[in-house]
Amino acid sequence: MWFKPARALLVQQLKRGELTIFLLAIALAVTSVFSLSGFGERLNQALVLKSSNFLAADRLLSSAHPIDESLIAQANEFELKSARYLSFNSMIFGNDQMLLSYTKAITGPYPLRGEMKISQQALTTAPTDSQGQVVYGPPPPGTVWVVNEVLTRLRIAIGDKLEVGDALFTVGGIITQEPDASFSIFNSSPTIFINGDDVAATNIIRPGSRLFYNYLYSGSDDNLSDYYQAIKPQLSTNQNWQDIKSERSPLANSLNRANQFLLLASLLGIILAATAISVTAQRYTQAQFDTVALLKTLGTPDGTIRKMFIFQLSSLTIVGVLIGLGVGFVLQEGAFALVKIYLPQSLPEQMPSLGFKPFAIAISTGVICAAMFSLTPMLRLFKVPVMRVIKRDMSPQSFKLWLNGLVFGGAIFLLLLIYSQDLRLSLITLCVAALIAALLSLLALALIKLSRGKKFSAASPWKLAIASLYQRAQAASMQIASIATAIMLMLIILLLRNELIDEWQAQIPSGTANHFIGNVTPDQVEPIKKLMAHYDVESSDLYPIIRGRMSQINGEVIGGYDSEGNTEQDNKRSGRRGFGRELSLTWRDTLPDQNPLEEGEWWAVDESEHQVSIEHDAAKRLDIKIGDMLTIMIGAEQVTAKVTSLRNVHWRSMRPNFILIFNRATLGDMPSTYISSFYISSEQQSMLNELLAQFPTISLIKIDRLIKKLKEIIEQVSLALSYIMVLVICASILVLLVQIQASYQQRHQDLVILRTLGAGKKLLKRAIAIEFLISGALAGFIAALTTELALWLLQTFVIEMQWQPHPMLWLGATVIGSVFVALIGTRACKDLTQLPPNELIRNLS
Amino acid sequence: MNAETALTTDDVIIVKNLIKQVEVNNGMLEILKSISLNVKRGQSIAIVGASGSGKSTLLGLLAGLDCATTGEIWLDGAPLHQLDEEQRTELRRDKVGFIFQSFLLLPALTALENIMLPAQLAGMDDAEQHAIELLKEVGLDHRGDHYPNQLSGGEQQRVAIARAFICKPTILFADEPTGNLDGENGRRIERLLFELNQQHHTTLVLVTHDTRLAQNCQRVITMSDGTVTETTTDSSVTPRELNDVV
Repeated sequence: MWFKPARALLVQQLKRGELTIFLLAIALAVTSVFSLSGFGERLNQALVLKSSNFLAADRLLSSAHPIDESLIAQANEFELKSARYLSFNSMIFGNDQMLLSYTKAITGPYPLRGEMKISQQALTTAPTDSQGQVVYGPPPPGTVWVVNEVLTRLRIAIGDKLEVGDALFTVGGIITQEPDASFSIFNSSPTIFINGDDVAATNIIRPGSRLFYNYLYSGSDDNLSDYYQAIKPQLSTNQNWQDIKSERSPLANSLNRANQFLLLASLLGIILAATAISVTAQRYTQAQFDTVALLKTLGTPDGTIRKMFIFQLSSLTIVGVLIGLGVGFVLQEGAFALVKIYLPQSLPEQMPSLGFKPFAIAISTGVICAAMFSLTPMLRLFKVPVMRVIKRDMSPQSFKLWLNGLVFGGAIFLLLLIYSQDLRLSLITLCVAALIAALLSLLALALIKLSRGKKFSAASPWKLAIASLYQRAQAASMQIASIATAIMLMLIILLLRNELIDEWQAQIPSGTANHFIGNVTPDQVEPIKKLMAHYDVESSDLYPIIRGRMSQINGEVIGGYDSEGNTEQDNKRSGRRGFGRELSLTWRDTLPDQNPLEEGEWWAVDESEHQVSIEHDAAKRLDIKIGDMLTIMIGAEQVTAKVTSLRNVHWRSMRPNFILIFNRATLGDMPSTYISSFYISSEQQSMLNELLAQFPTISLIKIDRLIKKLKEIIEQVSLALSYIMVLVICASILVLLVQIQASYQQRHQDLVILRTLGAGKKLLKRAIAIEFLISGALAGFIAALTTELALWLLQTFVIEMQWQPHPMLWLGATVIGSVFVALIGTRACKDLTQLPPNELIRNLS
Repeated sequence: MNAETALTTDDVIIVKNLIKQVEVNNGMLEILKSISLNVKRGQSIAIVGASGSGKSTLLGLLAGLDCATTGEIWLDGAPLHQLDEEQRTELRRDKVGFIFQSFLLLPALTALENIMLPAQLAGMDDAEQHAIELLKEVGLDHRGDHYPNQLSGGEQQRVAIARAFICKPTILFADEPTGNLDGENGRRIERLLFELNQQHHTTLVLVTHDTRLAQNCQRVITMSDGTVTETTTDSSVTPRELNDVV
């Protein structure tokens, strides 16, 4: 019995356009969330997929011991491609020379991601990525592929013999591109590739051999995750499952930040869309008061009325969600098409497909917003007194503010949590939103005082504007709140984006070192400096490298814990924690650039006492203080030095960085090799040829491929953020229009009265413009305040960046707010000022 | 009688062959069908009729709130039918007062500010003083600082009446001025309206369903289906000589 009238009511109201704005708000929320999450997720996947080239796979399982073959074989069940390599350091012999090399013994279709290039011909210049042919899989049995450095240092050529352990190999090619090459100058042994089947012949695998078993996988994210879950119980703690993001590298760091940032921007977009739904839900139910009163008068049972309106709400939600999904799908495809056009090189060949998650998140956003934000207004609707049919000013009692706040806050928090799956981030975002609400309550009070305190002529546009704001103090404060939210979101996204990009750019400014050299002997230091000066190449200083292990602090023997506090074997170990590994040590007379002193003093050049400077975070972690004595084992030799300073180190900079730096008196006499980093442009490539020709024994590591990738990430994230900004601006305009529409009837009545009493169009236009300018300026000011606070919270606790105040923000936000709101507001109210006064008689009498 | 002749007499409103058509789904609907009438200065006139008879439309046209399709309206000598929107606004500001059934006060302004508003719009220097005097006249001098939502219906209508008189209008238009009030309040407003009308020598044109209120006017025009079907005059309620042509 209720369905037919409910349907008729819905159809009529839809035709009259009364439900359009509510429908639009749901659709916009779903569109924003769907396109943001869909685009964000796919872009992130694309970045990770493309960046996975640096791992040569999507996932890497590494272990110091062989992993049970049955576990490895399970990968087939999950439709994963797999390959493996055994890696170890070993001495290689050729032409009666020997060299410590890093060997990879490959089995299967290595690399699973990225490209490996092998040149079958001798190189006449320094190796570049463009030389050689793309090759998949290991070298043929009995063949070895080597980096050019091996040939120059052993003075051998392609076709010559090379001994690895007990086996003899033929050099079959030169490695010109290795996808997962190490970018660390500290592990700079030249790489060679052999076939996995040849390992047995080398007799390298013996008890006590230091070997690493690396298993590579590629496939869909879900399958990889399922496979890992299946084998995880059988893995031991020292068997590491990693992806490109879990690596400790500038690339992983950038990827993780990009991911966090896209997530955060999306969360802010969700709050805005939810605000629009909340406002329209209130308005939607208020518009139904008369209908409900009339239905009650006609004897319709409460249960039937409830069913009718729940049906109406559900229908609107379903239609809104469907429209949102449709538009959202088109938008995110469009955004991806833009990335393809502008940054084709940064996308993988096979684009990641749209997963289930964006659909689930978007649908739940629409449903949660519609249901939760309509809850209290709907309950209020059902309590409309029947007497309203006679006395139209009779309305149901409003719910307590705290209850409304609880429902609103709860809904927002639920959405944030579903979307981010990050409790801390959701809480911080929610707290900022709550703070805005509190600030706005104060603002509403200020508005009342302002309107009562000022003496203007009743016919002045200022008085009319302020009176209008005062008259709608509650609605006006909500309007200002949502505009402030919108402006705040735009500012946060803009500022964070700029700061994120600035920081990235600072990490790789133009002229960032794109090459490392290592294995430089002391007698080569001066000639290399001269060569670089000749080619006008700017380089970091040459740092001596000495490998050593910290063994004692203040005479107390270190227990062997690692620096990350691995306490798994606590009961077996005792004593203080150390680094748990060998360190690269250096000595210097002067403090390196970008290593500001945090505490203590740098030593004098002629200081005779043994002194050491330690990186600040490491000192904190290991509880090392100024004045402590550190003992280091270098080979069989033991040296002790006093800690005289703590330094900050910018680890993300592309230059040699050290935890421990000693003075000349401590390590100056130790045998060492040197390392340096430098930048050469494409025009200076000939310097590399001369460098390698003159000093064939040095190691050269090129990191320009990594820097290029970092730049691509920055470009992609910038593009994604521009897209998010557009969506946020659309949502802001909708929120503003919703608010203006909510006050339209009252505004209409006021203006018609004023027109009838002889107020000119100019006065009314000015009054409207001033009202919106005031609203916008207040919203902008609050937005600046909350943005500053939000940035401090986010940068300090979430994405760990340095916060700094933004004085221009305050002026900028206030101006942007007032201009933006005045433009949209006056445009939306334009028809009101054009109204002929006969509307009064027609509509209001 | 033509308009030029009328201007030399004491007619404050002259209407000639007034037609008002509006567009509806299937063509044009004629709401007013060739109406002509004259109203003397200081006269009180009631327009009565069933709902939909066109009385409110006629009021709107006479007050310069709307434009006729054809015909002429002269308001205190000014050719309303030839004026544009802004000129009509000025004319209303200078010569016309309004009272509405639902009071239509601006909720954001106090009672005093609401009364002052038309005077300030017209650029009167002593708007506040005038408004205070009028507040006294309507018996609300103690309620000047109150906002409309703090006043009863009768008090709101008294404020509206005071607002209507502040610019010393030549003509006062009232649309169902007692329609929203109970019997006692209605009668008080009625008395106040006629008293002030007498004091300020204003011409009063009111639309009403209330026959008692209509009978207090010197002249009653009955409308039906867009035409004037009947006019009655009662010389006992008017001190002035009536001279109208329909």
